[in-house]
Amino acid sequence: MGLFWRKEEEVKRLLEQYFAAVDASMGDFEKAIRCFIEKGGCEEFRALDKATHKNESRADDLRWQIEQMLYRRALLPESRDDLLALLENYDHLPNLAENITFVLDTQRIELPPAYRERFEKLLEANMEAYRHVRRAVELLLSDPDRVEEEVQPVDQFESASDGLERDLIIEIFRSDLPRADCIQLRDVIQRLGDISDTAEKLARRLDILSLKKRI
Amino acid sequence: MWQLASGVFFGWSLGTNDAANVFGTAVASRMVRFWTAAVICALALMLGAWLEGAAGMETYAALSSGGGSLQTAFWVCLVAAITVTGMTWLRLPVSATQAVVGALLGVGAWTGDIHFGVLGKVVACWVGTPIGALIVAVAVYFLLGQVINRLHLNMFQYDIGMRALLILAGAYGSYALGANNVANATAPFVGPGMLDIPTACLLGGASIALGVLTFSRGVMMTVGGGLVKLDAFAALVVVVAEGITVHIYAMLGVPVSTSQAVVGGVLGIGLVKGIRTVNRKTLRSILLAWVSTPAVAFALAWIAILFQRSVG
Repeated sequence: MGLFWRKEEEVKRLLEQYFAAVDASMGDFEKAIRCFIEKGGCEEFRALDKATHKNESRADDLRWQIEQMLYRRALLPESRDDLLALLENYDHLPNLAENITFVLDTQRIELPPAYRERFEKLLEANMEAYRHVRRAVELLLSDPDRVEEEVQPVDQFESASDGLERDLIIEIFRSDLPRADCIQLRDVIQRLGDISDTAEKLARRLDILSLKKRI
Repeated sequence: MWQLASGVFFGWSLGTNDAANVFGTAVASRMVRFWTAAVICALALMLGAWLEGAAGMETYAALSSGGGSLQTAFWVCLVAAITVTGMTWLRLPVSATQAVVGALLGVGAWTGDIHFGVLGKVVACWVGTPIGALIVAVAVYFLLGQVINRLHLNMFQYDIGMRALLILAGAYGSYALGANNVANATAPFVGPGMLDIPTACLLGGASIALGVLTFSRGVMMTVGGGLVKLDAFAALVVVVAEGITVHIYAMLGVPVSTSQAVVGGVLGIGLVKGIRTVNRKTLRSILLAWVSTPAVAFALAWIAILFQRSVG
């Protein structure tokens, strides 16, 4: 019987691989940022930056394969559109991660010790938002009635991230750091905060998608 | 024997037009491939014609008092076929039954060979078809919706299930189409004794199936894409409503329009989901085709008999 829904099974398999690749990219990103906070732009950080990029590229390739399968008429048209839009938005997450580690490495940014603790909290808030969205996606594909459980906390982490971002940026610009360093740090902080912003948008979309199949 | 060609031609034109009513929404929205739909439709409608097509044949036999002549049967089928083919060419879903009845009246205007009591029953059912389908669609929407909600399906389960149900419902709708509409194609040849009922069912079913397989894609796209934008569930409800309604009429022996049934079903969905979902321009052109189909068939048949009499 699998013959009749071979494409759907293939899409499901590729989706699992895609989300695993994003997970790996985000995991390497988190390790990279922790390394950056503790040790700055060391060799270990560069290796993690490369790993983040490698997994992000793999996720891109998988996304392309999924899109091809969907355009070959796997799933119903409305699900195809929903899934394509979801993937397009979800893909911002590893892109952001890759971009942040790339900027930290190429611009040789240094984080003054006074900001390390709050920078770490900012990272945690954003990674938590990501992890909830990740679980929400998994539930959408397995048990859509429970998506709401994972979607709700995302808003809290996004708000926490916003607060931390604002405080950090204000404090950095009030410090004696050279203006160029302040601008570099502000950009990194804002990009880090973009992870939870993206997660929040995804959470809303996932919530709607979980309700869409109800008649 | 050559007169039978017009019956086959009419069956073919019926198939080109009416397959859209069972698989149009699914094919136009790319939920089911055209060829999957066409083959299933052709096989199921032949089965329906063979197993349950006899009742409609008897109604048509009763419509022409005295059984009608072979010449009448020839002109009725030819005129109805030309009318339906013309409407198909314009990509409008029309009623083959209306074309036949219009043609019968056109011939009957010359011969006086019409049983108006039976005609009244058939015409009354034309009104009952869309209304019946609308009511069935609303009921199916809520009942089936409840069942699906209770199953708590994920995206993949929902999509696979919905695609399978669309194919099953399409097969059932095609079966009902064959059972109900086969009489349109070959019943006029039963009265004059050219065909017995089982042969008429088989030949009619085969000619309708041929129409489905060769030329039905255009109307499928109109029905599926033009009238209202349907999601998978709504498309399923429309086909189930159409199948149930037409099947009931098949069992009663009254050939009705699957086009009218499907429009009734779509309007039922519009009623449940908000009337704004209905494309009024397309709906208007379909309604116009309903009125013009019997009128055109009547006029063509009248002219055909006039021609025959002036030549003969």
